Amino acid sequence: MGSPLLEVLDLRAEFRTSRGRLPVVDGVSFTLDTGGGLAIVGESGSGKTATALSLMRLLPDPPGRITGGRVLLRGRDLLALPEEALTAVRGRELAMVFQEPATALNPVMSVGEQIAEAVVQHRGVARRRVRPLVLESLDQAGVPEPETYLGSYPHQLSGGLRQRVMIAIALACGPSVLIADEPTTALDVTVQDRLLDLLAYLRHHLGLALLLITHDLGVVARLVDRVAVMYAGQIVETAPVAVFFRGPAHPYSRGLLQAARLEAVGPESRARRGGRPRLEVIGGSVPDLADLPPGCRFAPRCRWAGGGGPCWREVPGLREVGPGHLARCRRPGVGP
Amino acid sequence: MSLLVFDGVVKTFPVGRPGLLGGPGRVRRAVDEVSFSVERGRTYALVGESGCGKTTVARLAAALLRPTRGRVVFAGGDVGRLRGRALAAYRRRVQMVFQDPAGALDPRQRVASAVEEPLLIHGLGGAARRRAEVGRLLEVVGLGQREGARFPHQLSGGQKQRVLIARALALQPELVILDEPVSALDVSVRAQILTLLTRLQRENDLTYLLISHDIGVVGYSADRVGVMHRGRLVEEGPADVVLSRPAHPYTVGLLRAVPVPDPARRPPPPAGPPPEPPEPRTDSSRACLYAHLCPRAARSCVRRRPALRTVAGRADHRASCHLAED
Amino acid sequence: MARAAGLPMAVAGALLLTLVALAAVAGPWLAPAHPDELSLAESLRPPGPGHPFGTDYFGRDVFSRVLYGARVSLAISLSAQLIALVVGVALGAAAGYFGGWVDGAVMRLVDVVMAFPDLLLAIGIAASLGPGVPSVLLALGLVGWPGLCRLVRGEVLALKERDFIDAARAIGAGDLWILRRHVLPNVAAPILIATTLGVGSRILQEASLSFLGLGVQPPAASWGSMVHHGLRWLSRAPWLVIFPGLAIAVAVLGSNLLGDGLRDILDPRLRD
Repeated sequence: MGSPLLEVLDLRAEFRTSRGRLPVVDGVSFTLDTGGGLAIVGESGSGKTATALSLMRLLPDPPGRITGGRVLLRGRDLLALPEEALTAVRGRELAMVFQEPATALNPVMSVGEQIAEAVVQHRGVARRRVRPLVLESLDQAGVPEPETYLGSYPHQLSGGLRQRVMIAIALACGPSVLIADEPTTALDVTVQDRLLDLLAYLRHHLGLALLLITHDLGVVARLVDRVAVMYAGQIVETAPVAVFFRGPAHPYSRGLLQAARLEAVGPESRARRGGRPRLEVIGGSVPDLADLPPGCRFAPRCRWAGGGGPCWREVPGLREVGPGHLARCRRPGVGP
Repeated sequence: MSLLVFDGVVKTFPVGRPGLLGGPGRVRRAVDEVSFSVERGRTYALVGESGCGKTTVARLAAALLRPTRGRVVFAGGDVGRLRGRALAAYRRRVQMVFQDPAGALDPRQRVASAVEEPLLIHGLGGAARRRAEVGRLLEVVGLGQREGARFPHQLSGGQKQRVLIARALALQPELVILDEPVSALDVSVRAQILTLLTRLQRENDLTYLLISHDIGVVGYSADRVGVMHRGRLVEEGPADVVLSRPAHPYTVGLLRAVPVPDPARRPPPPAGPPPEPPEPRTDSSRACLYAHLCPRAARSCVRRRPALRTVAGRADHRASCHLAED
Repeated sequence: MARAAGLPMAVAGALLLTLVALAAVAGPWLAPAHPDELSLAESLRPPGPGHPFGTDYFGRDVFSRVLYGARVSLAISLSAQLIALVVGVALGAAAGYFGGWVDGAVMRLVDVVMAFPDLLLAIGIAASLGPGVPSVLLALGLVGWPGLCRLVRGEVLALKERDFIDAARAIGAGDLWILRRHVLPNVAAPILIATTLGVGSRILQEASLSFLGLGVQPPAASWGSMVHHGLRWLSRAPWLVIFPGLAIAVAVLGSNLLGDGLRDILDPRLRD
């Protein structure tokens, strides 16, 4: 295998606000292999989107600022590249799909033009050879009868089709990593279902590495091999999906998984339980980045932190709790 | 006994501008011949995807809209005919919790004042009694004096939703309409709000009309489920039955589409790019509105639109599908 | 960024207006002479120790007249702006909130009024009512309301779509309750800004009407009428025009600075 395709080392970014410097990304590290799939899971304010934007160097500045770490793509540090060289990497190597396709597409350009623009910019193909490439990327994105949509404008398309056009634009440049930020959150479940199938297809048949940013563990289970859970700017647990879903070590991850199982109360679990399922509840809400607790950032919501014990005083580090399984917890795996 | 009954309710909205000379413009049927009834003390959930008409049903039930045709009946009275004082009385008995708690609170109103407002409007109690009642209501939903003095933007999403729930309870309503009550909230906070709603229902003998796109939320909360698709109720019955043995192919697809948080049950990646299905046709045709997407569509499905009928062998379970009738 | 610039602007504007208001309130104590006191021996004296702003043809102290004029100018423009405020907010809120024919009628009226240049309309109204303070008040009020009306209608239309208005209806609130408790407090900031800016326009318009001889009548003085009467002596005694003119400029600048500053401070789009 050699070195990984994408390696993020101790990435740090902050937001400078009137309330001080907020550590939105606080020492995040992970790797992604060619064709691999990693999900960064978290709730609002966890720093998952800021992480994705930082490694593309797209974090809005101000108020954002990358303050440290390295992002190695095939061994090259993107954070050290001059802006022009970076532009060539974005799109060509790293492509991004956003949550809200309605706002990420240009409303006054036709679908064909938008994809062609990406192709010409990044691949340096002659104009007359563009059309087949455009049609191919639309086809790969599962747009039926692509010719009929070349002249369409974004507002004429359904949400599902718009998201596919976004993916076609991303594919048009032949990237090696696709970063998808909540790609299905704005979509209905049946539309989401087909889009997840599409992303699975792209990973397995085109060898595209997928960095998925999501809050939905159901989507994680469906698409990737590895998961990293973020909380208040830090990764609190990372593991292969099979291990994670069998037994998450961090209390926060366990709460998330229980909440996700509620989301998926499907036909059989409902029948099996014969009525309402029991619900485990994490109390409280996400901490304020301007006013973080001195010890473990999850301690105020944690049932196992105890009153004023070491969890409240010392920031726990990421520790190995199993093969390839790290957790930022002094007492990993306690509880149910 | 049924507390709320929808009887053949149709709600149309004008599409675009009316004719130049004031002639009738085109209309869209947001809710099309919908009938169901909600039993006292139970939770009835309407589930469906965006644009299916479930939110319009909620607003009809809250008397924020009037039906174009058909009747909305509450405790035996026709809601569509209420005016003035009778409408105000209805609004004491029926409350609504909105999807977006940030938008449903006046940004310039402090929390305690927002909770007090319904008491003030309906002239209930003197200042001292109202203040005590506000304190009690905030406590019931797990908030304190400190939150009462704050403005909405100083609260988290979950706290805002608690404020709206406290406000809805202030008038001791019989029916509470929950319009996507947790979909704007973080995953870890959803469970808090759902358990709170369940507890409040038990303690106050509340009836819930729950509107949600989220099968998980419906599965957790509902006693009875109605599935909506393009303005119509396509399936309806006890939650356990509808969610475990759905009769309508649309419901089957909806349940199957929910991603399961278990990688062992991951479906194999498809061999080719899965295509986006065609756009639905206009409803002027007589075909079943789901026929163009239905994996089981037969010739009869295109010729004749099915009505909501009892599913064979299940007295309490209805579906509008030719294939489920016998 | 803009928010930071707003505060000093607003403070500067408020200071200028305070100066003007002080002149208006404390005028009788500050003035060295009665504004109408004639002294033909002192006719057309340039600014000097006895008369800081000089004297006019009748020997009246210009400084005293500017101080008293502040009363008249401020009283007229503030009252006119109050008329514009009441009419504009009431009609604008009704048009935006109720929509339908109410909206149609109000907005057509606004269109008609706005089709005329402000000053021309004011001159027309004041001239047809005859010169004097009441006709100036009415003229300026009628010129001022359509802008506020449009602003309030737009804000209310946007607010009406917000969930909290429906939420208030759902707890049984009536239209008047909603307008008073939820709509108006939320449009208060833009109204405040527009009203402050409007005061500046009213001061200018009052000066213009008085300048044309349609405003306050002699011997009473407003800044506009002082400029009007001073113009005849412009070459011999320019101070007759310069000082009341400066007073107008200070008052208008103050209200504009305060209005723009408030806009930057209060505009929610610039927040966070």
